[in-house]
Amino acid sequence: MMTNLEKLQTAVVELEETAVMEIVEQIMTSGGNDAQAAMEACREGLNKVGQLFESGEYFISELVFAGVLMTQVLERLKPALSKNFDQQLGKILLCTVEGDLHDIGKNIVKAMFEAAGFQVADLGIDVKANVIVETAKTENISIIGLSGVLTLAIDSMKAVVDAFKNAGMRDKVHIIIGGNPVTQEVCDYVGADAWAVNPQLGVNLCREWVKG
Amino acid sequence: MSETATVLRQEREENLRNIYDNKIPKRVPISMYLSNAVVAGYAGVDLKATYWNPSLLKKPLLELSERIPSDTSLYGGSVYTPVSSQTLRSINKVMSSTGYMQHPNTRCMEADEYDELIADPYAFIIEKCIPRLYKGLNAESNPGKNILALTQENQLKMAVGREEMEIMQELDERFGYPNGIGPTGFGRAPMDWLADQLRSFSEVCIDVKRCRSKLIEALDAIYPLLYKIGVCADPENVSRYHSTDFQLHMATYLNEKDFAEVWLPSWKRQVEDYASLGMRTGAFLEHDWGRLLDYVYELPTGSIFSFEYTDAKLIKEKLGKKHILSGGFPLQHLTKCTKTEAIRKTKEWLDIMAPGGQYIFGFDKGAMTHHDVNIENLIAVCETVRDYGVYDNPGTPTGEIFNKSDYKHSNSPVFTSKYYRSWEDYIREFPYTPEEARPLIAQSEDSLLFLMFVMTC
Repeated sequence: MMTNLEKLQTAVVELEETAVMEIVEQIMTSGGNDAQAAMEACREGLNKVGQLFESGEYFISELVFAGVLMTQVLERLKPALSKNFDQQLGKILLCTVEGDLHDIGKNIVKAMFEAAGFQVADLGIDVKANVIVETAKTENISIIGLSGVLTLAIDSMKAVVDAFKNAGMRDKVHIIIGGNPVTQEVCDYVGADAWAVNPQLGVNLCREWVKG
Repeated sequence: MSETATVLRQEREENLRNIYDNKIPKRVPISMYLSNAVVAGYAGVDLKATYWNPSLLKKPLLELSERIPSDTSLYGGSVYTPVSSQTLRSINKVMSSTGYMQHPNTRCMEADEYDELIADPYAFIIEKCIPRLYKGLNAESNPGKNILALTQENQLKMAVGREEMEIMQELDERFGYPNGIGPTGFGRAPMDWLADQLRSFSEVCIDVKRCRSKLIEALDAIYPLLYKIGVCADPENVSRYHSTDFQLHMATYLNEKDFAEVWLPSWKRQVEDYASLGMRTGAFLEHDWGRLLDYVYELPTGSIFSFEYTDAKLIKEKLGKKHILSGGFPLQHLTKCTKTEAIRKTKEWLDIMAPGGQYIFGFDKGAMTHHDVNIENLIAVCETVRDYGVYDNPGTPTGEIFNKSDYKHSNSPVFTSKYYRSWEDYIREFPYTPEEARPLIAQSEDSLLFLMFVMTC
């Protein structure tokens, strides 16, 4: 017999929205004591969604839906979560780099990070390197997530890394990149610390960075 | 036109005609295109200025056309341009800070508006989509000026378009590019249009799961509109030397079930309907279609598929006899390889793609900026295709033959809308109008429909 949390995890993996929200609702109507554990279950479910994406069983469409689902779950569970749930892992800066106006990937990643307990400073699209560096400095953010879909985003990502170097901050931040044109080769060229094809892997990596 | 250019044009057209006629050509044709951004970057010209003053591109285009042995013109003008988008205050076509025009993930239809779309798609475009996508045309957000905006946009577009056309004509005449063969029609796959423009890519990913049957109903409802946009209206003009082209987008981002049940049926119906009229389809298979090639195989014989990341050997093996293939050569070879490596990779590529004909050389994607292109390597690659991609058996029959009688036209309702005026409607309102006005009115209604549709593309 599966527990509610196991059912929740399975429903997240299978992207069964109705089932997910029913369980979440049950948790909240019975006092919300399991809210934190429910978020953990969702996180486990998202890990599996990410794996299914990597293995070619799920596609971008499923990732978009997973992101939307997690946003709903978080919204509903928030009143019962610890006050600083959305800050417990710290803050990440997220944006689409200069020259690129695409935000689908960024928004998927944003939902995943928020579900994981990160506070996300979303600077939007077409963001210049100096704005990213300045924001990281003033808001004391040490994890930088850069997204891009167009090939021209690669040079913009490199410009961000170079801007951090020029500002003497390169060793104070972790930079992770993602998006359609990003590969290990691109990551090496850009000089980022990591790249992720699967957004949940990116989230997990950033959790490791936070824990040190 | 010089004698050399005339001869070149004849050779190029014959080469392409052979491909369209199921014959081995003399050599693999080269289809190349360079965006404004690439040409501007090459010349050190401000990209943003070229949208308003295309003549800035003329000198570098003449130089590049001289150097790059392409069989098609390098220049096609601008598709998205701030000349239009800024005048109309567009949110679906926007210039980035670096000057590159893009289509952001916008939406102009909400999930609870499917019934309204289904009732009259053209009316929905005019009443809901366009005012939301173009703030300049919105009577509430731009009162008064909204009356002027479309006319001003048309004036500006015509002025810039004339300059672009002059450059295209000069390039065609000087370098002998073919002009009687190739794509002439423009089509959109129903679900791509609904996703990219109306609901947005990300919202449709949700609709596929939350309101699947309504989405499928909507795809059926918009079919007559999408069909009308891409069909060759005059049966006399249907030619197998021309194609209606589609830029396919969403398919590979869906799982196979959603693709087969939701995305594919309406587009398959569209291209099969066109095939039953003798029309040819061209499509860019964005991303990697490897897992979907069995479906692509089933599409009408002789379709032209340019591809991006799909494995070359696999696509050649699965589709190479039934369909014409083009593109696919990784653009990144131009910047990641030395000239010698690029030449070697070109030969290896041709060894896969050229046998049996039915292939037009091109890249997997258009270069976005001049940083994506090492011109010396591009020249080397094209020269290699020209010299290495030569056949020793030109004129030999090849590939499967298309027969329009193999395809049956679906029972599609005739396109109607409260905004699409028939001659009967017109004469009812203006009973003293002579018969002479009829073709003009009909043409004007079709032009308006096309214009409104293109604004949502």
